[in-house]
Amino acid sequence: MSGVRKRQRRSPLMVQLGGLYGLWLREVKRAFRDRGQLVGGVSRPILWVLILGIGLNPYFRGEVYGEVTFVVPFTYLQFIFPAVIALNIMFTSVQSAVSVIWDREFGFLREVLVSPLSRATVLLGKILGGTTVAVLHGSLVLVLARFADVSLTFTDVLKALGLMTLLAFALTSLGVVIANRIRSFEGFGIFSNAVILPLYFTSSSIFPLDPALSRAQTRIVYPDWLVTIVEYNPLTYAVDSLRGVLINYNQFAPWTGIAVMVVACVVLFSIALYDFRRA
Amino acid sequence: MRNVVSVGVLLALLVGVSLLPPDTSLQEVEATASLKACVPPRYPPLVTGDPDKPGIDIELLRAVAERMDVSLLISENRAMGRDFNPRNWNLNRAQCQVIAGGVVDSDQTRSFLETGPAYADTGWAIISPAPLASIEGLSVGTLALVSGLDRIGLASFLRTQNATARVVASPDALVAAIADGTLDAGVTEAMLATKLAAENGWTIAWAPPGLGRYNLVFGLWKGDITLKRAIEGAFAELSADGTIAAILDRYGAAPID
Repeated sequence: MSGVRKRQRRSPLMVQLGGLYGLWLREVKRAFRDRGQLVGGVSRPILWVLILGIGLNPYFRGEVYGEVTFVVPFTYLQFIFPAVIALNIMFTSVQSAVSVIWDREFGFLREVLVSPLSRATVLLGKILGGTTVAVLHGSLVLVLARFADVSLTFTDVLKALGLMTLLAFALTSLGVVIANRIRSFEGFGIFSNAVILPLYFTSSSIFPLDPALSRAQTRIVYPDWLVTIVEYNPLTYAVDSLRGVLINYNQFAPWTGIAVMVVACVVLFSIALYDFRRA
Repeated sequence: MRNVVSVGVLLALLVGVSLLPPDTSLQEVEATASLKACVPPRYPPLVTGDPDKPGIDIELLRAVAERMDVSLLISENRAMGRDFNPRNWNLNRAQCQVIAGGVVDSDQTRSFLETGPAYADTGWAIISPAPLASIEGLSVGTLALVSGLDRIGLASFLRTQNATARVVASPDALVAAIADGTLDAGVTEAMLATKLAAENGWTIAWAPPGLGRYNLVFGLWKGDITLKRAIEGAFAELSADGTIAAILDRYGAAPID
């Protein structure tokens, strides 16, 4: 016995935490080794802020003092800036869930699932990994703040990072829900785009529902069906809360965005966990 | 290591892009070597019409233009001194790149314009020949001119005080009406009020804080970010070398006690 080392037994909690860390680190490392994902994370803000923002900016600026269609305290570049952060987070979060299909396809998931880790830990590790990468991709857009003339204080950045984390967690959970239902890489790519783009375009990300207008007036400016879709889209409130923090402009009550995102995190994680346990 | 290099290259690309000019406003000023400003014909002490002492805003703009190495072209707009509604001033990009002569940094101004750096405080101020405990029941002249101060708030305040409000068209008309006793007091923008009070030996007091205090600024067209940055840069230099303080001093733009 004297020559045999005693193995220290780790508490179950430490086993779960160690596994959680390992899975999180794997997701983060894999994302950083994937150059395509990195290029996408940089090219999206460049295209949306630099090309679309600059291209449309002149059409939203005043030409005669006092004569503008909408009295809004921002330029188009400033308006679109928080939405591009949301877009970068959306793409990265949902795409990071492709690793679920990858792991299932190559047997890694089977190995992890026979380990002492609970399914909730495995899922949380993957989602936290995806969340971290998505928040980092969202933060890349902040580098363009000077270009868009968005002044940021340290507190603004901290608040924005908090909101971005909630959004990224909810969207990565959504990605896992999709990945659990779609079994092929090709199908996932097509389906995730079919979810991301409509969600983005109907979230008041590229046009404002002017808060100076009453509900009735808004429905005169825009068709009824579009206003309804925008108001029912949860992402509308996430983008709105980011705008509140970054350009001090809210179309809805500031707390709405946080409440919607917290509910989305809980609901989507619960659905993802339910699916994951059944898989 | 290769991954770190990739991230570094992509970040450098983003930083490089963020340094690109987002618009052509500064380029336009540099191409014509002139900075065009629209001002009201008279809004003392910001615009006086006196060639020797043309006013705080005119002197500040001259100093800014000099730093930017361009000439200053002043375009006087008579409607700015006459009409409450900025739409009726018919100011457009072709006439001027900067709007000066009493523009305040308020929500209303920011809804239409970019605002340059602040150089003085303003708000509604009350002038009268003798100190007043309140303006309740008095006859009060209001001179709003170009400033973006809260006119609706002022009207509500005067109503709550049961004051009889009379709109006057010019500083001279306000002074004349107070001097001949037609009006008991006058309410106008603080810098103008300071000047009128000093010239006539009257007293001056801020209107209640609920009506808001604002910074005086220059207005630029929304989206003219490169020009705004150039003006902010020039202002920072002028502030550091004491030029702005000297100009404000020369016009006796002392803060109201």
